[in-house]
Amino acid sequence: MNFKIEGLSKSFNKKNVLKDITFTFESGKIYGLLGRNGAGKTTLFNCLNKDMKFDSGKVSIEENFKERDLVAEDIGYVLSTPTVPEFLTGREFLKFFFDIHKKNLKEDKSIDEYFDFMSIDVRDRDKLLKDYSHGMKNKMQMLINIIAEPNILLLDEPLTSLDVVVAEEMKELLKGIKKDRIIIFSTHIMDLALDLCDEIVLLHNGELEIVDKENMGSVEFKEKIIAALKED
Amino acid sequence: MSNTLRISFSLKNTYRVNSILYAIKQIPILKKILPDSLYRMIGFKIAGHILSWMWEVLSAIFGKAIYFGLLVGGTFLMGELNQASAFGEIFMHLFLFGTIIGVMSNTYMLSTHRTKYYAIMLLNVDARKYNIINYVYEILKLSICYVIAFVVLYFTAGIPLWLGLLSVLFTVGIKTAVVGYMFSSFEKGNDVDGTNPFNGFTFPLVILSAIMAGLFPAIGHPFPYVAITGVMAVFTVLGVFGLIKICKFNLYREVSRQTLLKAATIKTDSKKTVVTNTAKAISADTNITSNKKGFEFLNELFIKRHKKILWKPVLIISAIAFAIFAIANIAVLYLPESASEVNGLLLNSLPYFLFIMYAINRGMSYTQALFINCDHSLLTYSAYKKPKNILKLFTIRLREIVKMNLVPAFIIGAGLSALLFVSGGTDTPVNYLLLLFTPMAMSIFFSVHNLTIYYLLQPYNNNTEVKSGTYSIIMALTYAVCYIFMHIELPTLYFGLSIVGFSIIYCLVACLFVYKKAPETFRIRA
Repeated sequence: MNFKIEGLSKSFNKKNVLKDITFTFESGKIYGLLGRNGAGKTTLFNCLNKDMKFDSGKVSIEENFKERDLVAEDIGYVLSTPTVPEFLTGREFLKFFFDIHKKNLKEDKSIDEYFDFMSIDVRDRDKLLKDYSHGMKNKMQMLINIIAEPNILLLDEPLTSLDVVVAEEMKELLKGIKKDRIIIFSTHIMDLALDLCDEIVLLHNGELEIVDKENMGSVEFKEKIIAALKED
Repeated sequence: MSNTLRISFSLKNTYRVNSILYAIKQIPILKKILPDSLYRMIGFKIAGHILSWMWEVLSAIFGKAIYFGLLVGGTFLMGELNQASAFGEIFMHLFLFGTIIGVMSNTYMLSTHRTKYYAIMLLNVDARKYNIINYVYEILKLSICYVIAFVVLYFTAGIPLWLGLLSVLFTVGIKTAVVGYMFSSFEKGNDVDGTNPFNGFTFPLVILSAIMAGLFPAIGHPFPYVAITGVMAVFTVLGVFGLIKICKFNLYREVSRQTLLKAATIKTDSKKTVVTNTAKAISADTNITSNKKGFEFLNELFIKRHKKILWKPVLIISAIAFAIFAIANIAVLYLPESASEVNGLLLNSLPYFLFIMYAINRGMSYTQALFINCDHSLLTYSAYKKPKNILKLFTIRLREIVKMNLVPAFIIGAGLSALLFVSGGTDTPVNYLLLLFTPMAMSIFFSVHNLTIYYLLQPYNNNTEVKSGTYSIIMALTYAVCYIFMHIELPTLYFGLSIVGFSIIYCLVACLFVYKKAPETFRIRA
């Protein structure tokens, strides 16, 4: 499966934030989306998630050499600040998503199995989500997005505010679920991107540009990225 | 000093000009036409500056004109109650206490305007110079207006010119004295507030002054000129001490910081309060469960866990409505002479209830709670945004809000019908039905209206701030229309029938719109 963006443009007033972007993402890979503050990473995600109308362009899925339009179920979007309905308990939130996804669920796991998978303590499962810690809310958000098994998972700065233990758990989890799907991971932190991602994509001057992976992790590689991001 | 004055004016002006331009940019059609560079376009800047200066001058003149107008009106009113006293005496009595009340609500010194925050806290402008120069400016503005007003009063009402001038000195004196008192209090380690100079004592002092202001002239004993002169002279002298304190005081930065930060916290708090209160309203009762599935499950838990902000107010409003109509019905039974008047009102004043039904409608609170505690988070999940699911949930929510609003509407409708019966009935029996059903139709209309515009305009952004100008305009228009109807008398027969008809058509059209458009419009605003 490929995720294709063709000629995507978005501008605010006269400022072109995304300029005629054409790019193809391949399944089974984690893409690290790097860009400076205000480069348009969140705008790109909002456009892909259809929270924002774009001015022109097309986004589609290519499966078995057939192309089709992107639909809402194709995408899971994990925001940097976890948003969960605080009036539900963790178990109720999962049950609700089980109910509305019944037809699409491929795995036959119970609610508690999912909680175990996410390392959410038995004592916390029946607590209201408003009493969950930041990290636990983040895990719930991630879990809900994984249950639906979307083809594309967009992650907007998801690990930045987590403690080291949860961040490590999440990293392992992402590596574990990348098979058969595309994960696009936006971040400011270059080391995180280099550590986790299979490909590095720069969003700069409104355009997406893949970085040659040769010597990934070396000092020269980092310098190359910074130099690229500084260019006007 | 002159540099501080220039900075202060230029900041205030820029703030006003940009606020005017920002407000213009919020108007739906203009928003698209006007570019972002609007803020640096010379033409707009000049127009903004002219408006800003006009505002500065006109607000000073009109503010004082309204104040003196109220005093003159009050004097005439008191004069009618008590024909013995002269205009001048009553006026000066009211002016004396009016000024005392005024100083309790604004001393001019510790204003917490945003531009002052920018100047002192962000731009590090000398706090002493900034406060003093602005204080002197405000006092000068006030003095000029007062001198003009008292010259007019000298020629028209014969108030002695010397008393007028003393009044100006008194006003400046009492404000300055209170500022001196606040500064001393601050030096002793107390928090101060320019709009509440005596903390817990301010409100009782205001009430006492208001009673003194009204009571004496009403019973025919306004303070004589000699007493007024004495009080004014004392405060004028105290003002000199206040002035000395203002000059010697050297904690301007500290006092500004304390007052500005306190005001800033209150402002952000009031914004956050709605969100926090809504979040707090979630019931922690572990016995609340639901056996339903999917969206019905979500809805049932939402309603049950938000009883405090959803059903509790409904029950309170219903109980109050029931009590009012029970008393009204009994009153008409016991006071038969009022019956015909009540009967006439019932047959002509139904439009009044449009405003009442608007005011008691729970739609706004419901959509707000829905957004803050539910949709704000769930709208980030793609399954929730599927058109089919949006519409399923819309239907469930419409049912819930209609249920909530129908309870008080039914009580009001039944109460009105009963009142019509006990006040002598009607020749057109259909009026009973109309009095019963019109409030219910209105309640359904407002339920549909609120939920529809929530789904079509979804006005909130991620921080739960209202981001849609169109939404605000529609809400204001709804209010205006209901308010206008309050003042219109129409025969119940025609008004009732048209409202019921209109509500049915509106509901059908609105739902049709939601079904067509909501899957696109029901989104978090980026």
